[in-house]
Amino acid sequence: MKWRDVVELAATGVRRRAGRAVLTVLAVALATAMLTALVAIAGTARTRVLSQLAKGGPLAGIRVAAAAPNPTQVDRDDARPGRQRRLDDASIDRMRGLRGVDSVIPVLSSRVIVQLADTPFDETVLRRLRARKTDESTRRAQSGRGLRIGPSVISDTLVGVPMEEVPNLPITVLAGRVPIPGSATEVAVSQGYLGRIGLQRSEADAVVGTEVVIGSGRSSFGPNRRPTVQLRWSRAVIVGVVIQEAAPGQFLMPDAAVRAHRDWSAAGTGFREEGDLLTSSYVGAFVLAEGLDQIGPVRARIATVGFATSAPENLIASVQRYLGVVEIVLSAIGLIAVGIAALGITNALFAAVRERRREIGVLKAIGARDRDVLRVFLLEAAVLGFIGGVLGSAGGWAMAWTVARVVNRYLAEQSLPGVALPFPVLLFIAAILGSTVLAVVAGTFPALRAARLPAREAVAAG
Amino acid sequence: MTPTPKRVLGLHAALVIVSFLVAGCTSPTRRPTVVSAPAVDRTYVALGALDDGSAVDPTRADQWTQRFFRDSLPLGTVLFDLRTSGASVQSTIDRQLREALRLEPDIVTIWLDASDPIRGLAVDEYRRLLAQLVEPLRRGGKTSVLVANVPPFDPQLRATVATYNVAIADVLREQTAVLVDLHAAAGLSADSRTLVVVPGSGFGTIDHAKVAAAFAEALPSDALRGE
Repeated sequence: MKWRDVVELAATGVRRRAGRAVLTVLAVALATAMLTALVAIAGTARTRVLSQLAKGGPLAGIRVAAAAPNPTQVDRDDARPGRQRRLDDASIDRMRGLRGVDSVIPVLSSRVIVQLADTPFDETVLRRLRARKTDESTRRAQSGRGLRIGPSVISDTLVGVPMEEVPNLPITVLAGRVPIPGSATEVAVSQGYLGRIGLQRSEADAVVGTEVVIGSGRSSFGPNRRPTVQLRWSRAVIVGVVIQEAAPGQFLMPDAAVRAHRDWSAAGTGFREEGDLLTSSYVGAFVLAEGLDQIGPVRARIATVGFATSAPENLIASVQRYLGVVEIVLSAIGLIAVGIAALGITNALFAAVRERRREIGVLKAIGARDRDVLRVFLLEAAVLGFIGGVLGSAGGWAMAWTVARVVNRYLAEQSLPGVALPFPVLLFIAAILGSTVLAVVAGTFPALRAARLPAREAVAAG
Repeated sequence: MTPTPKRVLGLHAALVIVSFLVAGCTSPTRRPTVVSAPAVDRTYVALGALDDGSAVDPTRADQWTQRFFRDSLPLGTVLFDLRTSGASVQSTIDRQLREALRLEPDIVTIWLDASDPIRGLAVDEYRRLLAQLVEPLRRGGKTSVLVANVPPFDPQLRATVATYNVAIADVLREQTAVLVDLHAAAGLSADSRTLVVVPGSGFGTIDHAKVAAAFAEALPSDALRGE
């Protein structure tokens, strides 16, 4: 029998029992939709939860402090570091050479004075800001590094990282973007900055595009031991608002820009605050292990190099276990639906075989082989599965998208970054392919029964 | 080959597993928006006296150097404020010149306020020292050097101030540096006391704005062009 004949016979079978075919397609579609939605939601939720634990950075990230390890804290996620220790390029290179280390990202920081330049805020935001400024008495003077800081000047820390490594660091963009690599005129600010100028997190967009002037002080002692301060100032446009845990500080810039500020301050010979890390090249580093299973061993190796580390390895491991249980439960629910759909297909095809015994007998009597009959019924099952898969995956995506919208609205109300639900092309293809294959599998037994019916018996039964 | 239930089942089960494994490999991505920020890298060094008589506060945003830096120079310019309180021409040479030369600036502003006339430094000596300060800063014409003259601050010292200002103009002419005439700036009257450091009383914000405007007006256009 030619394939064209097989297709015609299968199509005739579907057309002749349209009501049953529609119900079977619906069963497959519902099961596929449920499974697609569950897989998409579970995958996104897993990514979001683990990303939150890793503060937006990679799961296999280890934070290294410019301090000696504390022997009693080595295995703790939030290990308290020991005494301060110089972290320089030689130490970074040693860490890069450790077994199980994928990459090492050094983190710089520099104490700075930041002038809030005239800000072209939206008039509505500006009005709110003025009102809040009056209410909160933010115009009071602050004291820092021996200089009198006025109301439009704040003292804080500038954090520098290689911007091309941001995806590998615990940095999450809330609004705008991060500075472009190598830029000396772009800066991202943290939520703390918003609070200091009286804005709320939901108003993060308002600061993007505004300008700040960043100053580094170099102190020295002049004649008669009189302290003097020479300042290096640069202007920067705020290009984004971020949540960053790379190092303490409210301003994030490319590493070269921060190094320039830091080198200027470090060249001073005057007064220093206790805990100043000006003598250390880096304030810390972020080490990426080759896998989650390598975090523990790599932390131990970094300790032998002489530096304190912290990583949420224990937390991530236990959360992963819980997520695994949730995924098993969700998969079980989805598989039950799939099983029910498979039974529906089997039942529908068994019914079709029973009703079409005479037709099968006639086909065999005129020369059709077992395999031809098998192909007719398998094709019919595949068509039902394919249509059900297309409808189901589209429906599942719509369900997942709706859930993501609701979740994002809730997260926005809680001032938390939303979840990204990408269009799952692979999941779509797999769902359609999977439901087609499932239908073929479910239709295999009825099709085999039809194929093995003796021609005489089939004609007589009909 | 006759299909058997066992073979067909095995094949189909493998296909289903592979399909769902592939689907599980999808993950969300985030792409930040990108806008470019034009910038010209220039180095600006401020030398001379820190002009706040009452308190040493080089971080004030309303100082003339800050205003000049923010309003008249391109984004990407870095300001090195090396000024010290009450600096004279001699102390500027001693404590600021070396660092200024190391920075290889594109723009230098010098304002020595009225420290030297008040201390009674001889005009000829002032002229010699000012030339000693400006000449190396010009770096053979690579640096635009803007020097403000002595501001009008005391009618009784008008004659002295005038001789100082003649000396400043002469030196700047010789060194092809730029004179910033604070007498002409913003219509300040000869007895104005608001433009100079008087013990116990600092500058007013308006005065800083006027000084910044005077420097901005005198700034040569080629000083802003990138190399």
